[in-house]
Amino acid sequence: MADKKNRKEQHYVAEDQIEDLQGKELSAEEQRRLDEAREKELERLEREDVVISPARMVWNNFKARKITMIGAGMFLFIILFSLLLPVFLPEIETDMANRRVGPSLFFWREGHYLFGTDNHGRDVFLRVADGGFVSLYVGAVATFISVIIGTIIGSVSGYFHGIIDNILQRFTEIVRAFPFLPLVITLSAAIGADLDEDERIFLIMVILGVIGWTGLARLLRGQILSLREQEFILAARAMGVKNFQIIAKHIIPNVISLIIVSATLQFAANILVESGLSFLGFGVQEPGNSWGLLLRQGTRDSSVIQNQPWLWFFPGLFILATVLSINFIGDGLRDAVDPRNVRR
Amino acid sequence: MLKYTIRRLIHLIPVVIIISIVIFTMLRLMPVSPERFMVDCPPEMSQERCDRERQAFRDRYRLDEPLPVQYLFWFGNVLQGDLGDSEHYNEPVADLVGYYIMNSVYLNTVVIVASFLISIPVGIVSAVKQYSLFDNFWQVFSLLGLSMPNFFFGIILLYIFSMQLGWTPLSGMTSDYLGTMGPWETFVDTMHHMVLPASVLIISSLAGTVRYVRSSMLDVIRSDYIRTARSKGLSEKVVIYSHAFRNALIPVITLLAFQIPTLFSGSVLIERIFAWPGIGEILIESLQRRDFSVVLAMNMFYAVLALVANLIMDLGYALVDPRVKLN
Repeated sequence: MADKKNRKEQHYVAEDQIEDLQGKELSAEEQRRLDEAREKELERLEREDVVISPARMVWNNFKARKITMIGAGMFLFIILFSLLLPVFLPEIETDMANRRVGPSLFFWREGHYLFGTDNHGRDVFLRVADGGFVSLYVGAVATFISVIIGTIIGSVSGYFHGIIDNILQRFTEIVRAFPFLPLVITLSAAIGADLDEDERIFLIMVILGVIGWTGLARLLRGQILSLREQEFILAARAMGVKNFQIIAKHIIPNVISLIIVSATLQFAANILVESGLSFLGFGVQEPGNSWGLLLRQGTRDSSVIQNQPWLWFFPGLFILATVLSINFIGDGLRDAVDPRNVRR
Repeated sequence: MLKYTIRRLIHLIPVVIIISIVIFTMLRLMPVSPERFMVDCPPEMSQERCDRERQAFRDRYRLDEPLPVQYLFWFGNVLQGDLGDSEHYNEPVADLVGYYIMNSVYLNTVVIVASFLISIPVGIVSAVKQYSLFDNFWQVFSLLGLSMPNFFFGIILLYIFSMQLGWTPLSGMTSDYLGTMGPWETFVDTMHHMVLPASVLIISSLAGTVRYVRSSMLDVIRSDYIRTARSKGLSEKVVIYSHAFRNALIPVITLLAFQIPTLFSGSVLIERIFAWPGIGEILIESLQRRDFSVVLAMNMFYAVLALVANLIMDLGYALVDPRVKLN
């Protein structure tokens, strides 16, 4: 109790000091004192947790749900597994003596492999660890591209309604009507025929990114249409702040949570599409490596599916685990950023 | 209503044209020359004859003319109902695609009907008993279903039920190779082949539909007129099943419009795994053979399907929901 009173007094002192010193010509000494007082004030606010910051609230909500934390843990594991582990693992080598060996739990022994080996005697465990990189990389870059496009189009369209909105809406409608999977397949078969491995991967990222932004754009437009009528935007406009500054400084921060949630879910979807493409043979191809490609190789014909199930089971399991963990995170984030669920 | 429909249809025309221009241009800009794929020259054929046939092919599709001329030529033919010929199958594209589309339609009709029959009751019960064991089960189920790559799921089912247990056929749509089956036997046989691909598609579409029905039912339950109904003293049964239920069905129209195009393009992968002779199969095959008339027609089919589904959705809303005004 005494402590609380004490703090309150300190608070008044600090406030008085700030008020006293504001609006005057300041000497260096006074400036220093002002800064100090401000800092103290901030510290106090933080200590007392009077108002929790939005980021804090989101984090509190996020960690309160067990399932999202499980998702985050799983995702961290997958990141470590496919980004860090390959650095320490030996090169993938063909070994004709150990072809088509089934998986074994005693993988440290000679001739035993945790995930088995393929038709060329390559260790499936090493290939799965290695293939994750491309799957995650393609998904992440494609998501980044579509988030950028979606944010720009959605916010411009919502903010300047009228003719610009109309044009952008028609444009969005056209892109939305493009048949997603068939078009992606067609494009990567059509343009990708003569490309080398890196160019193909780049192409897939661009195609996924350039087609995948419409959902976010629609979502943002709806939000911003109502946001733009609020007082603080009106005030900014009355003060003569430029339109693009209003969008960047006042509108985007208000919808950033939406963007993050939608990006997370998009990331999961892009990983699925990339693996589907590679599975059909229109995505990553040999000598590249990705989970979708491994699944394709593991299901070449029905005898492989039947006799060497480890070839398709483990890559598939990793796709499932990755997408599931990201969806858990996205779901948790969606609930966490909703201000109706305040948890301290 | 009629006026609105007509206006919307007119609005669709430029959209369809733009999409066709984009797809056409992309296919024609491909770095490979199609005649090399389309016209086979066996070694015993003379070089001269080979060149002549390839030139004939180029002439047939006006490949030596500038791109806009090629497009107008193609578009003019389409307006007359001629989508071109498939070089590989030596058949008009319309006939070929029509045949394969029907196979996809069989599959997807079963999937849509089944997934609606399951997801509507499940979604409504989940919403009414929110956070119950039943609800939690379906919540986890739908997250799992959304994350499961459906081709992986397909392979697992194929492995278990066809390969290990031998309950279902491995692939294809029929085992009637000799054409000796009667209509009833054919039907049973087709259904037998359909079990696995349909189950995969039903289960993966349930993930989305259950969530959707649940959230639309939750919205309805929280609305004022339901509170009024309750405060009038109506029994919970009457409130839910006669007041809430019908209004919760309205957003299901959206779902249907959304499901149809997604299913048709999503079944590409599943058709591949189970060798179901549908449009997905023909699209991939034609791409591998560079059979462009077919690829072009398929892409246009998907685009028009999405646009029409969207239109039907808007009209459907106006039909069932008196609050929606069309103008």
